[in-house]
Amino acid sequence: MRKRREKIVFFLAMTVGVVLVAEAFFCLFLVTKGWSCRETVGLPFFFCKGSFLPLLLGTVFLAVGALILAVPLAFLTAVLISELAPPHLARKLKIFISVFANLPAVIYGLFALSFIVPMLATLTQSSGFSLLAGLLTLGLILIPYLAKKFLAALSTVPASLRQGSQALGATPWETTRSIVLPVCRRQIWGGIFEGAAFACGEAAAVLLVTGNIVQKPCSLSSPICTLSTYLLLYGREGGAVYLLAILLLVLVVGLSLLGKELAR
Amino acid sequence: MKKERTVYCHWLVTILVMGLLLWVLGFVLWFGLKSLSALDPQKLTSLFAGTLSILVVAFFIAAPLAFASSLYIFAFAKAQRRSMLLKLTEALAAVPPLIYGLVGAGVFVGGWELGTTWALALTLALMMLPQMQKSTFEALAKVPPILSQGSLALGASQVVTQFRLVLPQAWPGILGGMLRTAGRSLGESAAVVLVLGTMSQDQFLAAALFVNAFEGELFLATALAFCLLLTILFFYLLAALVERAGGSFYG
Repeated sequence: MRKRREKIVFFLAMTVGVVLVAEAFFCLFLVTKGWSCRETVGLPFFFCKGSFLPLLLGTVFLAVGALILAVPLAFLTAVLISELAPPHLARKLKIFISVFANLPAVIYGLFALSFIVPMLATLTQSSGFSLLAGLLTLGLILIPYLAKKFLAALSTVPASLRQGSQALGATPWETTRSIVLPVCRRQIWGGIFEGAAFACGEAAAVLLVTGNIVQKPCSLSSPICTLSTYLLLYGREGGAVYLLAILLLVLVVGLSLLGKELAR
Repeated sequence: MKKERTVYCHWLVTILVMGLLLWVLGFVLWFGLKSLSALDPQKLTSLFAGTLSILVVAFFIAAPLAFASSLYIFAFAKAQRRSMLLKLTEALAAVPPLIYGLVGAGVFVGGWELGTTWALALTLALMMLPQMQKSTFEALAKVPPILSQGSLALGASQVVTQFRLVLPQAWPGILGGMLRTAGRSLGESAAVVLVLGTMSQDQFLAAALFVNAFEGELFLATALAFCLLLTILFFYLLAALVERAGGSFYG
């Protein structure tokens, strides 16, 4: 009996070993590939004026812009669902939001390609593939994603706080503003950082609408290329791509862990 | 008076957001249904068969590993090691799928020269692994610790406690989380396109959708989006049913 028990635990520990080996292998591959292409590209060139800065700028502009568009909308929606709407409606809206948060981004990309890009093309008298189209698309994807994160953040506030405030005669809106939101401010910021990580890592939908010309984003209507779309386009060609991948990895994982740390 | 106006503003924005999202859904359903005739049925069946076989292989590689390893980390590992491993899992679950695709293309296609099916299945398995571990942790953590503490206090071993007490409570959550992860990776196009390349995209639904959209074949892409949407919704429905069917008392 004892023997069998130990065998089970040993077997479970072995699977952890297998998983860790696979994951170490994954990281090792990226690092060695990135390190080996240092000679072909030249590290100083890469970091001073190469193809790297426009991509990073594109990523940052796109993520920040999409967040500026999406955060207020997602925030107001989440607050309404969690605090102000009548419960039966709130339950339905919650399901609605989580369905949309789980839809693959490509579908939003296709939607943007069919509606947003032609609309921008007629408005700006250009091809329509631009930073602005990317912003709108990514903003649209981020709205349900962020709303779901904000709903999770708001649900960490204990119900007793709300009840106490209401017992003192505060209206739902007063309760929300002066009790609920101050309590979960950190969690809300965590959600925003996780949204930023998601925005930096998203590739397929952005690639469909941004035009993909490697250049510094100088205006809203200029086509851009971001780190992730560049990787998706040229990832199979090897070389300096792996350095970009490491950069993207550090950026996304860093932002995401920061968000999780804040939300804790 | 001012308060009322702010609440009004919340309602307005919510309606706007719902309208936008419904527009997306309506677009996919309406135009997808209309352009469904653009699809060759034979091609569609082979596409479905390819997608599902890849997903099933990836699922059966990743799910047992994720289940066993996260059970060990959750219940048997020492506290310090556990928190470290949890951090690692969290970090890896946050890695963009694109990078898994890059590594998959480099290792499984470029290095080991596997066939596309196996290379893709292994890449997806590698991608799903930390996400499944994360959802398993969440499901295990939902079982109140007081139950396992009581069992341990009565002299049951940790193995018996976990297998007889915790897992019967947690399995619907574990399986549901895994199905949800599978559904999410079904919609993953970036990683798949990197592994397959743009030439052989007729193996994975989301990749075919992306490549067609990229090449401007919007009719075909919309029809594929319709199929993808239905498949993914089916997976989420399955996950929700599993979670409910378990009738988990504490879930």
